Amino acid sequence: MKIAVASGKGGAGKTSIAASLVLAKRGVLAMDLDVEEPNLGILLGCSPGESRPVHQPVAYVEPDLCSGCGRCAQACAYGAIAWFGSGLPVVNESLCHGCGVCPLVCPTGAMREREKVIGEIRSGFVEGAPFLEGRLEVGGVSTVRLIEATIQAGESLHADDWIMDAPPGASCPVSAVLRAADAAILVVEPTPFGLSDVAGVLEVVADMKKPAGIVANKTGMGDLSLDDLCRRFSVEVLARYPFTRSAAEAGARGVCPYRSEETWVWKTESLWRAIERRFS
Amino acid sequence: MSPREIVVVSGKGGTGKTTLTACFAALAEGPRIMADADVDAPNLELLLSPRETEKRPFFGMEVAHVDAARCTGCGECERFCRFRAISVRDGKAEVDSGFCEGCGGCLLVCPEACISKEKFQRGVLRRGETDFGSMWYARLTPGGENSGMLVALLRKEAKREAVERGVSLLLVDGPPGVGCPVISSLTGADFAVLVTEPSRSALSDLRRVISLCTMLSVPFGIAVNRWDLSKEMTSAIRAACDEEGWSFLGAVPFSEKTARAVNEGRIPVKEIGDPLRELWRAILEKGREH
Amino acid sequence: MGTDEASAVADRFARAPFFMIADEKGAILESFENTAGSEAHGAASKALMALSQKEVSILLVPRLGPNAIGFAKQAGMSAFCAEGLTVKDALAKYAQGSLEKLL
Repeated sequence: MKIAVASGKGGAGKTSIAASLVLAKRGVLAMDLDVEEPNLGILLGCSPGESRPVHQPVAYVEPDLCSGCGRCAQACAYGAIAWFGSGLPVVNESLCHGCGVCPLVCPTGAMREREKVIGEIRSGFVEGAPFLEGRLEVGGVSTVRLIEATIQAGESLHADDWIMDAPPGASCPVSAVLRAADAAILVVEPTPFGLSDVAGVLEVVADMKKPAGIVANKTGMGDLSLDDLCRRFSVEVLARYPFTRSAAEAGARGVCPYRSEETWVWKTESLWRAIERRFS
Repeated sequence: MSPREIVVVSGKGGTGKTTLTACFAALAEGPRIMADADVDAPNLELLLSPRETEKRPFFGMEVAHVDAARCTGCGECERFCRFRAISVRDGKAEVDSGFCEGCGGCLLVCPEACISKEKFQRGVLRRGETDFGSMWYARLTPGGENSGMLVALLRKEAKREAVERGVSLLLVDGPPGVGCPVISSLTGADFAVLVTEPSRSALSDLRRVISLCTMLSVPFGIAVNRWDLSKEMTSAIRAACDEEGWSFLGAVPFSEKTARAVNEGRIPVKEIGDPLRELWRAILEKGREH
Repeated sequence: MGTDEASAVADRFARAPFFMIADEKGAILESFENTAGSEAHGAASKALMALSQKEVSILLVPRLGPNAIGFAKQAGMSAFCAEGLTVKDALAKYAQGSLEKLL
């Protein structure tokens, strides 16, 4: 079963909960898909040793073949190609989305594509189980592509269960993770910010018709009720983790609270049971 | 005259960007305009309570649209699409607008010429009045694309208003991460306040957003929020600032009073107290240097 | 920001609302709306292509973003910093040679 752990709001505790789920069960594939700011590895205590680059196509001009028609610049939806009437068209690689249109419209085959590195996939092991991390090269805009490449890398590892740490927000990077998941765990801080932000993700989850469950995190600080949210999206709260200074301090040191708080151990085991009951 | 634009980002989510941006809005003197550039998960409105004066649909890149009646299900579009945004189901091509990047390739390869590009609403842009000045905010339709474009539009409108009304300060609450929407929030900004927290994850994320600021030539300074949750990590961050020559602006402590105020929709200027004022003073000074 | 000499130079190049073109003597030839201004990415190349078609080779701008610099260089254009000035002042200072060269 592939389980995505998302939240909408950043800092709700996605990565802490994801790491705890990984540590509580043997043989789970841990996948860090927060490719812009990956830090699941820190909480798992895993420094992934292997790395391989991920590419996307970017356009370039084969000078001898260019007939100076300017169709490439006209066809580019992203303004990545400029042509000034003479000389060669200029491609700005950081704007190029690798869509493949300019080679298609080029009448002479001068417009071609080459592979540009957009990031890397790092791999390692956590207590014998595989760990994959997608890491975007800073300055790049290909978040979704890298997420999908990392997911694909996971497919070839044939693990039964996956925990996929998703990025914050509710836009296409999160959709890309949810699309590949069988079920979603939404980590919610029961605060106005937390509730507001998770609603967006729950809308996407509902559109995709994926089963989902809520994990309330950092409870006990004057909580808002999750009842309305649960009713609106037909989901249940599967676990509640209280805010404790000690858990926060452990997290700060880079230690997953599962490793330092007893409550986290039994709560996570109980969460796994709830997941298996609800989603299998 | 264009306003001074201060953008608050963090790398890691949840470090307190929105709370601090609201505090800066409250503390600043003179006319100011606010913008919530976290269009994915906009929260600044929960603290600034804007009274809406304007609302417009946001149309991003046009999206492919299939004329199902003429579609023969040949699959050329699916084979071409680099973004997995179009696929043939039950003999007809269907577009997933959340993933369509508007490149227009499928239009070109369709043998029946039955695909066109259409305007597609990707979100909503709003303007409102707050106790501290007007605020521009937006929400991207969940699951969608073009957050960078919406952020660019938001900043443009906020700046336009600032210039028209002679407002000299624009405060922007930025998104987490280092991707498209963050790049769009930072390009051309006068100063970036990087809000971090004293954790290993946050420090790791901070380095990446610093790298981005450097690439984009945006001067920046670092503020540590909830610094007392780990005095050790706070020292580590200060040491890194010294070593790397990053500007350290200040540190704000954690308190349950602050968290409670925020949860009740109150801007915690009083609750945080002096450390906040000192931080804001440092931001103004540092920002002036550039 | 507007279409007369007294208008302020905009704060960004590619997303400026208008462009004004002058000859070497500083006489204004035309002004036109920058339709590329609200595009997602790629405003720079579209703006520069439009200007290049009008045979512009010198840009008086507040600053040039990373995308604009690359394209402008390839187009053989040069650029000078006119940040915070009105169009009239920018043209005058350019004629005096007192603007900082950006490209």
